[in-house]
Amino acid sequence: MDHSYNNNNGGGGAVISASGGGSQFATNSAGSNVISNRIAVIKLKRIEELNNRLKETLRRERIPASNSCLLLINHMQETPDYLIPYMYKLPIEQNKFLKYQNLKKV
Amino acid sequence: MSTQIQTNNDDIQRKIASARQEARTLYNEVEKVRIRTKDANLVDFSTKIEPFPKNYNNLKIYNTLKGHQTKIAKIKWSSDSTKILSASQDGYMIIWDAITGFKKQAITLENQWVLTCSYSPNQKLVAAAGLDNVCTIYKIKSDGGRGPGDSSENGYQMYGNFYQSVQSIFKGHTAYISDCEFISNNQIITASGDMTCALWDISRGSKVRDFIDHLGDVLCLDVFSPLKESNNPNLFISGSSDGNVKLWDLRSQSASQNFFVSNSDVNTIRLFPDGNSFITGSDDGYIRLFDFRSDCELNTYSLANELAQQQRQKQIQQHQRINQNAKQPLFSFHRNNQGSNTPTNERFSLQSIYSSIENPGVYSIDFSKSGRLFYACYSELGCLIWDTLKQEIIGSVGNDHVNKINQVTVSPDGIGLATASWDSTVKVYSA
Repeated sequence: MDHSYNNNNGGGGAVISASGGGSQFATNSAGSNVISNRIAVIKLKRIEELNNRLKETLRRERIPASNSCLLLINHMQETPDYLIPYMYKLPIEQNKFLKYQNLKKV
Repeated sequence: MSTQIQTNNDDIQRKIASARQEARTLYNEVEKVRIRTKDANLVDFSTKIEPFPKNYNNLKIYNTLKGHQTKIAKIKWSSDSTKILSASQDGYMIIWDAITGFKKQAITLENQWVLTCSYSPNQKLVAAAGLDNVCTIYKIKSDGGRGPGDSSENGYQMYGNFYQSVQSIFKGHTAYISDCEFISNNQIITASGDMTCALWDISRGSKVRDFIDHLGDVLCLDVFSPLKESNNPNLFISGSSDGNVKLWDLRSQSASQNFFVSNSDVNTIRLFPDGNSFITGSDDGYIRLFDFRSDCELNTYSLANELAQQQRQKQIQQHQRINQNAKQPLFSFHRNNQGSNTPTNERFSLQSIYSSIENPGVYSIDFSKSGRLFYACYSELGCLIWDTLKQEIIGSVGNDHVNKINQVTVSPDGIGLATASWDSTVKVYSA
């Protein structure tokens, strides 16, 4: 399968390019005709699968990126973060690392 | 007969053509919706928020965990943030008390070629997996209730000693296992170079489901932590060498959401603490923030851009204080000379870095508890601290390591941070 796609849809793009081979399997004998027929059916199924997925993607509810940004910023500002002592100071009695260090000194 | 097949064939070809046409139309529609949704990025919204002071080094080192004989492959915090599990290709996993720095247990590995490990939420099981394509679950002896800060005589020794008790061996992947993570006390997810992820049930001892959709090696995964109530425990995300990140539902074999990241490997992936966004680190050196709700990228963090900008600022500053003797670097990547006499120290100065990055890849990322900061391990630059909102590097951590830092991880309670390195040590930092 072709891995070199560059669209936003990941797997989908590869399906299109992989199915681009057309009728190269078609030969004169009836037997291989049946085989190429089957291959064509599989191809069709894959494209239909892709279409279903695209439809699902289209149906997905999205919120505008601006809203996501605001929600993210909100989370950042409302969660105390003790790895940023510049903004949030952890009380010494809650800092287990510092507590142990002090204990060792004693 | 043959004419009938022929007409049949033509019929199918026609159907294929029309289905393809439909795919194209749908694809364009999706693109349009995506463009419409992506109406802003995070930087625009954070202009009013105060930046951090430059070169703000906020963390102190508390422990250096020494004991492994070779590179550390992976470390994981325990759910209660007091212990660290480390796996190394010397053939052992060690459980450390992160607070005292003592070893609690060593687990002899069935196979030494380990790449990853995981610690179950109830801390009764650990898992190791790697180049043998097998994920092995080990039982842990309970630690007898010794708490942190316990300085009784035994506290200074390794109690529990070397120990091995295999609970399950999960075979099924046909290539190396790059990452594994407990999703509950009874279930574990593995990501593999065979392009699949798999869910395994420990009490049943068998595979529950394969997750097949990636077109390249799956290199990393992250689970929605069962510890956080807001998170949906039925989901996980995976990143692959096909440049895509996929969101999976444990109940479904195919991915439920796909994000195209870039045309290079997604080496590492991490969920934002609230579980609505995630961040990826790629081989091309870019870090990108995506959002599930908007289904798009919110921010890009480029080391090259940031360094170039700092270079410019530095030049401006140098011009400004042309008469001043004091020439302080605006921002220093200098490795700490204390305890490390490596001749390569000079390579880490900003100037030389800027001209000599050969491999810009990002190997490990983790968010601080609020998500305001994230820590990123670069292949050749150590671990840098980024301001998620301002898109700026505000410092670095782990400079005491004398070799490459391959992982950074923040404890679940958000108070501790650990770095793992090729110098065979783990270092624990806190405020």
